[in-house]
Amino acid sequence: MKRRGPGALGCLAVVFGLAWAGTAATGENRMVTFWFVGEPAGSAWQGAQQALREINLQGRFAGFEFELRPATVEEVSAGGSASLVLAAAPAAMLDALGKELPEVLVFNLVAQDDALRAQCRRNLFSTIPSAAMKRDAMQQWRAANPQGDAQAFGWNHNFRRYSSRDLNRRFADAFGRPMDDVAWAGWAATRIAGDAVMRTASTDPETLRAFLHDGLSFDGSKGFPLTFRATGQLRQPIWIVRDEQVIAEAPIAGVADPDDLDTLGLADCPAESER
Amino acid sequence: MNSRLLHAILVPLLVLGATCALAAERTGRIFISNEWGHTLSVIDPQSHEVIATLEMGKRPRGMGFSPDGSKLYVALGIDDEIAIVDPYELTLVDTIPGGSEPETFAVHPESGHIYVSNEDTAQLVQIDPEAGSVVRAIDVGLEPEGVAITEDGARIAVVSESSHMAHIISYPEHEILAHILVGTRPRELAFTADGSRLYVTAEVSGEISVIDMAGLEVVQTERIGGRAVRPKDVVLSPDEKLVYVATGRANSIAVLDAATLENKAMVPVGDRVWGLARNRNGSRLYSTDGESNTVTVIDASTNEAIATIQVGEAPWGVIVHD
Repeated sequence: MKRRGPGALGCLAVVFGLAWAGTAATGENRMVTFWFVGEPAGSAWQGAQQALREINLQGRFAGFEFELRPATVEEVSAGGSASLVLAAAPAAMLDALGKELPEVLVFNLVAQDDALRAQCRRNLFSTIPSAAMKRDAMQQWRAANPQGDAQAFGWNHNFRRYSSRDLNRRFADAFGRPMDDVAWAGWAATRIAGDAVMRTASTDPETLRAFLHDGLSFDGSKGFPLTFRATGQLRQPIWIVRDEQVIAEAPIAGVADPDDLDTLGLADCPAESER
Repeated sequence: MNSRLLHAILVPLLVLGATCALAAERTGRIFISNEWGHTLSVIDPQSHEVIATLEMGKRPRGMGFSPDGSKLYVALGIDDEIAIVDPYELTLVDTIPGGSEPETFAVHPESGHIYVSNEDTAQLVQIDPEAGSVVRAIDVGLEPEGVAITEDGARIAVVSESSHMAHIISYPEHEILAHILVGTRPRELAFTADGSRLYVTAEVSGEISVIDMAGLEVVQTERIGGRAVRPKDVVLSPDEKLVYVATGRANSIAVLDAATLENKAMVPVGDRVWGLARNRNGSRLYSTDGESNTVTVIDASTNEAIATIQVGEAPWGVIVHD
C-alpha cells in the first residue's frame, strides 16, 4: 500500500542509446516553400501566416523549415520547382493554375463555387466550405427552426468549443482582428500542407496527394477529425450563427445524422467528372 | 528468549515501525476536481459517499500527490495558481504560482517538483513547490497538455496537442531527447512501470499509440473504434495486460489489450468522460463524467459500473490517495 520511495535503485539512471527520431539540428533543416497566389494581405494571407508560425514551431523539431512565397501564376510557373500552391483566388484563376501547372497541388482558400467541387479535379483541395454545404446546413436548421433568423458560416470568432477559443485567441493576438471564414480556410490549408510534408517527409506532389486523401485526419478545432472528399472538399461541420454567436452546429441532430458530415454539400463525384 | 535479546530485537523493530509510520498510511480517498463548480469532491472508497466538498480557487483541473502522499496539488486554471491541499485533514494549506492557466501536470517521484504544461507560452514549466518558484521552462510544441514521468524519474514526457507530438526529456539533465509525431491532438500519456513503453492517446484521430522508449519511436498505433470516440485519459492495469481509455463523448471506458491494442470491451459510464484513475490494486476504476456531473465506479474484474456518484459541476480530474 505504501508507495516505494526513490531509494538507490530508483535513482539509477536508465541507460540506453540515444536515438534521434527524425530530428535535425537547427541550420540543417530542410526548407520547404509554399507558393501563395492572391493578395498577400487580408484574411486568407493572415490565416496562412498564422499557420506558418505554427508549422514552423513543429517543423523545427522535425527537421523542416517552411516559408510562404507570394507570387503570380506566371511566377510560380517560371519558378519551376513548385509542388504546392495556396490560392486565395476566384475560380477563373484556379482554372488557369490547373492548366499552367497540372502537376502542382493547389489549395483553394476562398472560392465557394459548387462547380469547382463537381469537377473533382485531382489536384485541387478546398478548405473553404462550398455554397452547397452552407445551403444544406441552413436547410437542416430551418427544418428544426422554421421561423428562425440566422446564417451559415465555416468559422466564428466567438466560438470557444473544441479548442476554437485557443485558435481564435492566437489569431486575434497576432493580427488584432477576429478570425473569419477565409482566415480559417487559409490557416487550415497551410496547417494541412505542413502536416502532409512532415508526416510523409516528402514534397513530392503524388506522395502528398495520396496522404491528403488517405492519411490525413486534420484537427481544425471544429470538433471533428477533418478529411478530404473525392471532390477535393474538406469535410467539416457548418456553424449556424445569429448576432455573431454560434447557435447550432450542422449537421443538425434530429434532422440529419450529426456525425455524418456528408449530409452537407456534394458528397461524391458525379459520374461525368474526372474521377 | 531472555529479556535482553528480546529488547535487542524489539527496539530496532519499534524504531523501524515508528519510521514507517511517519510516512503515514494513505487514506484511499478519491479526489475529484470540479472544473466549473470550483470545488473538490472527496469520495470514500468503501461507501462511495461524498464525505466532503472543498471550496477551491477558480477552475480546478489537474491533480497530483507529493511523492510521500502528504500533499495534494491542484492546478487552478483561472487563478494561475497551484493549490496545496492536505488530503488527511481536507484543508487548503497554501497556494503557489502555477504559470499561465495551468491545466495538467506531473510530480517528479524523486525531487517532488511539479512539471506543468503552459499552453500560452508553449512550454513545460518546472516548479519547486517548497520554494513556490519556477525552476526552468522548456520549449515544446504548440498547446502542451498531458505530462507523464517514469517511476524511476529518469524520463519526462509531454504532448503538444496542436503540434501533434510527444516530447521526451531526460532527468536530471532536462535535455530534449526526441520529438515524436503521434496522432492528431494528443491529450494524455501513461508509462509502463519499467519506463520501457509509453502509451499516448490522440483525441481527434481517435487513436492510441505506443512509443518504444529505447528506440524513441512509435511502434504501434490503433484507432479505438466506435462512434464519437475521443480518447483522453489513459491508465494501465497493475499487471500491464490491459489499457483503459476514457473516450469523451462516446461516454464509455475502452478496455484494450495492452500488447495488441485490441478493443476488448466498452464500459458505459456518464456523459463526456475525460478523467480516469484506478486504485493501487487495480480492482476499481473511477471516471469523471463531465456533462452528467457524476463519477462512475467500475469493478475491473467484471468491467461493470457498480456505482454512479453525483459530484460538483463539470468533474474533470480524478486521483486516488493510495
